[in-house]
Amino acid sequence: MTARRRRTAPRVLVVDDDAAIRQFIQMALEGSGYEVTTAEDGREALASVRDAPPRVILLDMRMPVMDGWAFTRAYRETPPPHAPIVVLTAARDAAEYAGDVQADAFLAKPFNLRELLGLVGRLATDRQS
Amino acid sequence: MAKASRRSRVAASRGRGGASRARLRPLRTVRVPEPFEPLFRRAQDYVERYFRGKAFSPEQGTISISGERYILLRAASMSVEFFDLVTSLYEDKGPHVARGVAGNLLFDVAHAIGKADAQAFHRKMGVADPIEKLSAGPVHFSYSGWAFVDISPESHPSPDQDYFLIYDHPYSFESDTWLRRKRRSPLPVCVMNAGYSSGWCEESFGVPLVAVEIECLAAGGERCRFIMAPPARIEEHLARHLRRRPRPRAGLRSRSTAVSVPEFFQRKRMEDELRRSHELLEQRVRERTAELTGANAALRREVAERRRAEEARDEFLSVAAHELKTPLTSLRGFAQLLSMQMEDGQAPDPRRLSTALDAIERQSEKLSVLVSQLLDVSRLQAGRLVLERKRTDVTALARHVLEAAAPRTKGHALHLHAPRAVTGHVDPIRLEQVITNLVDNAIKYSPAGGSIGVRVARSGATIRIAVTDKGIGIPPEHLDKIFDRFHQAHQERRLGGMGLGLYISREIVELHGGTLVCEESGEAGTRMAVTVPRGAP
Repeated sequence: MTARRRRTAPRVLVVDDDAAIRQFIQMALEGSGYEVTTAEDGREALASVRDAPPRVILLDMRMPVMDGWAFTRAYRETPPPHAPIVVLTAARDAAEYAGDVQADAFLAKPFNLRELLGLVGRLATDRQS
Repeated sequence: MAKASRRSRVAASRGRGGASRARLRPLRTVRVPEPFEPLFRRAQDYVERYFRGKAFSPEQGTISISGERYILLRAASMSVEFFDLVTSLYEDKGPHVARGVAGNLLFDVAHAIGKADAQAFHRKMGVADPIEKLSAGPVHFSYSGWAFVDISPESHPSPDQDYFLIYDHPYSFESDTWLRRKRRSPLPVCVMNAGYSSGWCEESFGVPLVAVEIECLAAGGERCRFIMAPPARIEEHLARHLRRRPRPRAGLRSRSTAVSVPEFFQRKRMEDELRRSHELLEQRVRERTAELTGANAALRREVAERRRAEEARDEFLSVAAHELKTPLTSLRGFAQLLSMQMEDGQAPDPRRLSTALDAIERQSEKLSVLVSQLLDVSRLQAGRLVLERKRTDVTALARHVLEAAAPRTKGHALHLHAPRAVTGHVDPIRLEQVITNLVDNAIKYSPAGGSIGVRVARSGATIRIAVTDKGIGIPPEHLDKIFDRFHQAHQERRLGGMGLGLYISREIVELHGGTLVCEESGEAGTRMAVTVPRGAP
């Protein structure tokens, strides 16, 4: 239940099917001192949370193989703790999608990178569920 | 035979009556043409005897004649009073309608009585000949107080369509009731008389008959005169007789020339017609309803189609926006990443800088392709994509496409198989776009690499361009959809794009009058082939 159990940088899981998006988010987060894991779809993300539990999850919704909705359902069925989820989507209904999966926050693509870093920062320190 | 002379002869015969040695009494109760007199005398004798057996039994409320029960009616109640009553009931519809209703009712009742009485007397008398059957009618008519009957020698009573009777009713009970009240009717009033006589004669001669009063004392005539004929002939007789009537003298009230031809149970015919028109109406309503239902269904289909079109447009916009925002997100992200580093005063790491700039360029390129595709789709849908054909070397075009594609892939070997020059009259920019799309698809859908071949060939009046890869193929269930807008056969692999490429390519090829088909697709790879006419030189 405690943060910094391993006395390492907080881990952020970036789930997005677009390689360029994963790449720049990873570069930005690593530049701000986070450890970053990436996944191309929900299934990879589910495997990743088991191996390396993240502090925050950045989640795209429309992805092949396993989409954001399916991932959230499966993730919530895994034993706690559960990291807060930030929905990142280019869809028109970003707020609705976030509501669907009871996300902690959402950002509509294309988002402001500073806003994303601020959000991750708050969630990584405030929310320790 | 003139009336005056007939009268005098009748008077004479009456005068001789008592002295006659004939067993039968002279004819007093009816006047008929001479040849018929013996028959009618017998009838008169019969009816006279018949009426001798009268029995009035008011204590029982019965009147019987030779055992047959009769009823007495006040004549006025069946004529002038009846017309007045109906006229007051039909006040709102006017006297003309009232007359029609009253006249039809009285005619129908009297015609029915006439028929029934005729049948009864034919049985009683045991007669079979039509004239014999007729004979008791006028006599019974006199005895029962309807009127005296005076049949003109012009008559021709035969049991067929030539049947014609012209006769007068002196002392008609009907006109009498009007005259006694000093009332004048615009039309003849003796409708019951006409009905009864024609009913009796119809039964006697076995042909449908109708009688019309052509002159009536109550309507200002000099007598009550009738003609009787089959309904089909009556108008013709009427025309003849009305023409013959003297014109009214100056200073006298004009005599009405209006007559109406009664029709037995006109009501029945009207009811039948009404029913037929109802049926017709219902039929029309059914037809109109069916038409309306059809129109409604067509309208609903149209509405549904429009709704589908709207949904498709919404879906298009939604997909397009999503696809445009994805490269835009990276573009903005990388740009902000660099600017943040500069603001923080960090020296940009050359490797990161290069990665970011590469990504920015790639995403810009992607964005530009997407925007072009969207514009193409929009032009195609509006029918505004116009080809600019010119003499083009398709071999050179294909070579150029492959040279441009080479930097985009490292894992594929690109080959061109083509004659030195294949010229055609095509839009070089659009055809290059098609070949580029096919080559890019070949690269995209053969992630493991392998050779990609473009084969250009001339065959008669057409040019064929085939692009072959050793990739993952198109799943059979997607083969018929790959040319649809937004369709992507390999959603699960996330190879990017909006699914517009093949749609646009096929449209361009078809604008050229050619075809674009998937000739082969399987685990061994895919072959897409374009065939376009070489076009005018």
